[in-house]
Amino acid sequence: MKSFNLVLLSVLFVVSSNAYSAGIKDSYLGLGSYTLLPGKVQTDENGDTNGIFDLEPYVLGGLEYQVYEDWSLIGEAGLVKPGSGRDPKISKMTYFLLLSGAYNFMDWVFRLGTGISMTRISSDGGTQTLNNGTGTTDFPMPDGASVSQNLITTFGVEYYFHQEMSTRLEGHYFNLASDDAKTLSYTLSFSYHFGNIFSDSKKVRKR
Amino acid sequence: MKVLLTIVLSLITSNAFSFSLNNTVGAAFSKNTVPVNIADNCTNLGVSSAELLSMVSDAGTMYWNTVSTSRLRITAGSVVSVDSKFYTDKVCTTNSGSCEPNTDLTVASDILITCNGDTTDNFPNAQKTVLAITIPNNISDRTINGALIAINDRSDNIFQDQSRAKMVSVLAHEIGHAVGLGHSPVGDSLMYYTLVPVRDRLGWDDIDGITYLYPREQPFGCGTIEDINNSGKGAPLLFVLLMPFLLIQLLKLRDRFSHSFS
Repeated sequence: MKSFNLVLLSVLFVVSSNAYSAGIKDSYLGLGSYTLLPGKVQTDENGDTNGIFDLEPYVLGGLEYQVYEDWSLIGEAGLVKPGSGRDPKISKMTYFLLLSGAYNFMDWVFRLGTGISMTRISSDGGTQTLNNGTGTTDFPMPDGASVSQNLITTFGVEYYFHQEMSTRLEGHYFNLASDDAKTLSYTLSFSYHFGNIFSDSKKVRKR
Repeated sequence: MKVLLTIVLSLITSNAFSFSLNNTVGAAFSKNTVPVNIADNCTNLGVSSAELLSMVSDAGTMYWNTVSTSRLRITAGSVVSVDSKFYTDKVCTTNSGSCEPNTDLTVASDILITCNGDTTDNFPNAQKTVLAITIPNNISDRTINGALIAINDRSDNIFQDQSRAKMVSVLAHEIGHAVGLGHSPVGDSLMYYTLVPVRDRLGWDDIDGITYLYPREQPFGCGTIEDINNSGKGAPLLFVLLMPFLLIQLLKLRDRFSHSFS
């Protein structure tokens, strides 16, 4: 799957080198919710798991390039706020860069793409005193940061319910070809579309 | 605009969960796949070495190997013969707050699960309900070369009273220590200090902890640990935020050149 994603990424970049001549079609900003590992994480001592929808807000922004008629390339960046804020000593942040091919059909846009999802976890060190079974021990906290980056496959469907606004459901598939670490996360978002902000006749909209 | 800016800033300063480490340097195995071997010296666990090996495999596939953001993969190694000291000697020469590993029990590579029946230091009567003691006891700089898991093999050990699923979760917990994690303060995490009524998945602390120690580096990384010191903490985020801006400027430049030549 890694090679599939690399091929997909390469094709999208090669095609995008000709995309600008076809023209920027749209730019957008949005807000949404990112659901990480739906139903896969234990959340209490009785085996309950996180829900299939977690309200983890994220912001996004992107540019759409019309390649040919109803076909487009979309570059997008997103920044997610995860977690419950249980411990202020450890910070975690997820952000991603995506490149998708898109097909526009009436008020709908269907996307397939790839991208890199990054998870940054950091802490300033120190210790926390925790039970060790027979007493307590001062366990060290991380001192520094590490960034995990995953190549992901994305697929989504977007609906324009207004000329300048749309909603989108998009899946982020991690390790699609792996036997055991294959996971799906998804986003639900609302975007405001500015059209082509580089052109005087910028109002290119759906509908 | 102010509202949008406030939302963005609140996202950047988000907090997460609370895992801990079991060594001060944040050491981890350098390789992606870490085998777990079983010593053939258990007498009171009520399960065979082969069954223990099978449980190790399940501990990998049910727990640690499920984390997509981690490069670590735990595999079942083989049943091995070890020196009798692994059964009789104490794991730590001193254990007043921190463990000084007994060098006689140094594990050359990977993870070794041994039974231990020492009732003087490791599992005295006052601590007979302790299920196991685990320590990465072969560390060079920030690399774990080998780690030891000593399971309580007293005749009255409580490991033998557990269901198979609980045994798997106990082994998974100890493997968590062997790869460098400390305890979590919350019961939803595998790295909580004690057994909970139902345990069949990792919690957020476990996922964050293993991701921190073993970050995955696709598509071009080779699986090495890459910590960022404090001075460089904002670099990746800054890159992501600036990327669309840089892209736009490049496209504008290209547009300007194409117009000037046409």
